[in-house]
Amino acid sequence: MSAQTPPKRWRLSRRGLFIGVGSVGVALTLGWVVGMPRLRRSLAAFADGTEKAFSRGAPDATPTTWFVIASDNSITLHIQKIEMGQGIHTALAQIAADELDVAWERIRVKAADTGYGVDDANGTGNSESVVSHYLPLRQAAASLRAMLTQVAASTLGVAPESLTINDGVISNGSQSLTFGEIVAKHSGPWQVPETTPALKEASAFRYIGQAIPRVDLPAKVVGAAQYGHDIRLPGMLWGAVARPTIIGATIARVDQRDAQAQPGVVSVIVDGQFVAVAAESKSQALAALGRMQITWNTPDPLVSQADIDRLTTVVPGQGIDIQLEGNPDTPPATAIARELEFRTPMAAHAHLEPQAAVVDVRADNVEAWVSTQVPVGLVDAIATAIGRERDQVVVHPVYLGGGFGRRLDPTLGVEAARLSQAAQRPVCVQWSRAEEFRNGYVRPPTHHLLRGSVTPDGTIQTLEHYQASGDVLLTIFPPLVGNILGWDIGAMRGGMLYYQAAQGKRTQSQRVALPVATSFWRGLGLLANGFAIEGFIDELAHAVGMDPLEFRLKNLPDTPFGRRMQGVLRAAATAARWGEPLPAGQAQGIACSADAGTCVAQVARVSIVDGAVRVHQVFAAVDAGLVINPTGVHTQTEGGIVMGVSSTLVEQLTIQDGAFAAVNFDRYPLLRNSQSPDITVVITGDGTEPGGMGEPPIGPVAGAIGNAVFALTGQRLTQLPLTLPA
Amino acid sequence: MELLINGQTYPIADNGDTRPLVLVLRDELALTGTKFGCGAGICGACTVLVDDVATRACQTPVNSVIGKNIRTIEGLADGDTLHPVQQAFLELQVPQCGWCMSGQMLTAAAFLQDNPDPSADDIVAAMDKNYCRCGTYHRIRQAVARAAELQKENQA
Repeated sequence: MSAQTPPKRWRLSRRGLFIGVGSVGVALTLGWVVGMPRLRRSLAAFADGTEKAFSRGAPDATPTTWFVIASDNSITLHIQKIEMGQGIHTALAQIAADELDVAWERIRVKAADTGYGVDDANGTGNSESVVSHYLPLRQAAASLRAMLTQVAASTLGVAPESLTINDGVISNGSQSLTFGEIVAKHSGPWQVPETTPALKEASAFRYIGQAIPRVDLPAKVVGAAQYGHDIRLPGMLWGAVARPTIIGATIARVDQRDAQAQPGVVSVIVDGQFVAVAAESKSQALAALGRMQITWNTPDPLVSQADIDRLTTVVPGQGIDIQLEGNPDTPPATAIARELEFRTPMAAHAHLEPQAAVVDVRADNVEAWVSTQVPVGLVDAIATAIGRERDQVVVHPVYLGGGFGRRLDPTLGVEAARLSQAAQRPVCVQWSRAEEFRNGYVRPPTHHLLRGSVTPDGTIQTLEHYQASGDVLLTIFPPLVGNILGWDIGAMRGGMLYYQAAQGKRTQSQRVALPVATSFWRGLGLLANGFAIEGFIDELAHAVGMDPLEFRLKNLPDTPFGRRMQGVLRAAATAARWGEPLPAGQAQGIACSADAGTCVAQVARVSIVDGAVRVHQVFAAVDAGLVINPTGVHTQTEGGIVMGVSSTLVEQLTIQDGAFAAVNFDRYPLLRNSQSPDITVVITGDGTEPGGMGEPPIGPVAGAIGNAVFALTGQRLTQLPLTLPA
Repeated sequence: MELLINGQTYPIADNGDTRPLVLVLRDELALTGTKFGCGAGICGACTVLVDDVATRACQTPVNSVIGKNIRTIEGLADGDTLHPVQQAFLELQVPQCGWCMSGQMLTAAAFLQDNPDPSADDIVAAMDKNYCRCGTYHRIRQAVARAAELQKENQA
């Protein structure tokens, strides 16, 4: 099994699933209907007029629609991917514009609700939105263009081949029609092409690859963008839900007392572990909940930080070998052997918009506005929780004030739905900052044991990575899946050894059952694994007195993947003027990683200020294959780096007295502006397919900083956050 | 008794109302451009201007700002003309998720009013108490410097 295979295979299988459930099957509403090959049979029924749902003026009744072209010549692209700051609406508009032959500004991107457009069961995450949409969206747009051309040809009485398209105008030189005019003139069925028309060559792209400004920013700079926390409906009630403050506590008994009689209270629910109130105002809901006497069962003994650290400990042999090549157990006698352990703590997502949901359960339908990364998953969760049919539930998209993997959990929407069902009015449930810290899920702690050996010529002979982590990906599957699989692919993101080892290498993954809820966090295991592996590689380079850059270049494989990694390493080093003298008191460190089809290398420049690590600058090189929007690559890289620096320098979630020690940012500070480095991003590579960008840049951050601290001080700091001995 | 927000008056029923301004803005007046982040005065997402001073609306009892001039993000632009800070944040493509940005931009606007010709260090110090989880700090610094230029051009 090669180094990059497992994460990639997982990604591809998800992508395959995604395509299978509908993203290739794309219908196109033109006021009328047209469709795409995989759904051709069902769409043919619509297209020949046997289904009235696709009639003019009722686009919201269409289940699988991406485009609407109206007779006023407007073009609307319906996107189910959630915009949470990554610029996905802009990138997808660019992709569509090229294949549709219209200027990108003319495509209005509409965040589609779950009753509309692609049924995107994957949600938004995994750095896969551009990757998964790139081909099907182009195919859809190309088919739409072909259909418009066909109709224009018959309308004008000319051969389709004689027509050209320029910015939404189809012309044969003497006569021309806009897309809107074609739609307005045509009254018959639309013919879906039997085969997808040929897609454009990259050399013909006009919008892909351009630094198009984000389509969501004009609303965001004037405060007009609507987030989940901003939704207000007429007659809306406010919910409050009882949640434990002690980790693992469960509700034993509830004495409702006179909660129902409190001012403003409309509904009280006491059902097992769900105890909640809906009232006319938020303060009334909280007050009524506060009057109820809830007896909690708390774990005995309480969960402690020591438990977490003890459980999260590698025991070689207890994990599963997920990568085994050659014989890594017996280094040659001439080799220098090294062994290091690394630890990373639990971390919070700390998205600045607390979660919020507004759900309106009505007699015939359910409407929900929820800050979620998984609207389609939430449809199922709400339908199941309140006993409705799936097609009665619509989740409306909202902007997310940060996602980072926290909003993959449907709990919140279900809570609001249950309260709305009881109260028969719309209900809003918003989490407080304390609830976000206490009652969410966290990035799992990790422990790593790295072993390896290297001969004096700088050739790695043996290399081993033993990793122990709380679950990530397995948390969303039934326990059986984890038991069968035995290891967590998410925890091992970036955990496979991509360097060559002449004698052999091994990666062993050890699942750790923890008494705290762990799950997705930006990059999953990427930051922790990059910290450990890249720190250890640096140690091996030092062991033989080699330059860390040269050592990496030497030991990466001579494969397409290895050459891409070498490419980003060289580019980052060039940008950072690697090897040239630095200001006194500063040093540089280098690291690289790969994720979601994207290779990233970073050089961090650090000093020690008042006994703490200060990161002055990070130089990043990114090979994301075909770049849709270079500004998007820059901003996602910058964001990943800053979040990574924050984890590397300041963030640590700990347990005290059986509870998370932090309930707000006073005990869990984030990186501040003055602590945040200047950042230089270089885009490299010549790939023809896009890679993901949401997570890969966080991979090398901690490694690059830790290695820079080593270069500066000679101390190998092996725990995050990095703390210098007093 | 009324609140003066973005040049408009909003009646307030009780001059003993000590609820946080952010709650009244968002939940009663539907001025949701002001964001809630931590409720503890730490993150800066709820920053508004009170008599041109950047102020944490989650730490401001509503009865303490009666009669004062409150400006929120909805009132930062002059009609259709964006404030130089808004122009610069757009030009530099600063916002990612955008949740902290009302607070960032109002903090910057108040700062540039007091210090129209700031040094790089001045900018970092002024913007240091506003969190951005998406990690746009580097661009915020560039955009505040750019906004200072735009402000000078506008006055020239």
